[in-house]
Amino acid sequence: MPKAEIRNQIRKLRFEHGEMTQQELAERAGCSRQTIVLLEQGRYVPSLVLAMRIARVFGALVEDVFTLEE
Amino acid sequence: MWVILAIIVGLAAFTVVVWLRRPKLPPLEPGTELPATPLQRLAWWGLLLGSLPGLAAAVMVLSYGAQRIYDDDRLRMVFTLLLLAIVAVFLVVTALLKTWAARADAKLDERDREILARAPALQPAAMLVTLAAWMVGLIERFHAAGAVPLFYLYLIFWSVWAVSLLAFPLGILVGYRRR
Repeated sequence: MPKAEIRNQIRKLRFEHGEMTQQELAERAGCSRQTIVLLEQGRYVPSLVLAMRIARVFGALVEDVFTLEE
Repeated sequence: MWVILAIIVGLAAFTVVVWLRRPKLPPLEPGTELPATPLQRLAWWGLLLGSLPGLAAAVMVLSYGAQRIYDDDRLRMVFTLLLLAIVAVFLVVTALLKTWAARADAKLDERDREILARAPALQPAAMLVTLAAWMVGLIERFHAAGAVPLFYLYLIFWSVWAVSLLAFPLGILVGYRRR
C-alpha cells in the first residue's frame, strides 16, 4: 500500500474565522491546545471523531479541512 | 556473570534498535511553544513528589546501611513511611486521573487518553531492570559468602514496587515525547 499522509487546513481556517486562537479552537473541539499545535504542524493524525468536531467548528466538511495525500 | 552481562548488553542493543527504528515525526517549527497538557503537568508533579521520598529512602540506605535500618525499629518505620509516601502519591495521581477521565470536558483529550493507555508499558521494563540490578549487585557482593542476608528481600520488594509506581508518570512523559 502506498504511503499516505494527512494534510490539513486548520491554520488557514482559523485565520479565516476571525483569527480564532488555538486555545479557542481547542476548547470548542474538545481537545488540548497542544493537540491543535501538533495537528497544525502535521505531527498528529486525529481520530475521525476529532476531525469531525474540528470541521464542525469551522462549519466545513471533513474533506475541506483534512486531505489525504498519497 | 557472563550470562548476566550478555543479557544486559542484549537488552541495551534491543533498546537502541527500537529507538533508531521509532517513527520519525516532522520537526516542530522553530519558535513553537508546546503548551503542557493537564496530564503532562500531573505526571511531572507525580514524578517529582514520588521521587522525593524515594530519594530520601535511598539516602537513608546509603547513610545508615541496610542492616542497621532493618535492625532498628525506628529507622525501619521511617524507611517504610517514606516508601508508603510514594504509594500515597501514586494513589492521588490515580484518583485524579479517574476523576478527569469521567469528566465530559476536555481535561483529557483523545491523545492524552492514548498516551495514558500506553504509559503502564514502561512499568514491567523498569521492574525487570531493577531486579537485574539487584541480582548483579547481590551476586557481586555476596558471592563469596554464598548467601544473601534476609533484609535484602525487604529492600528488593520495596524498591521494585517504588520503581514500578514511578515508572507510570515517567511512561506518560515519555509518551508525550514520542507522539
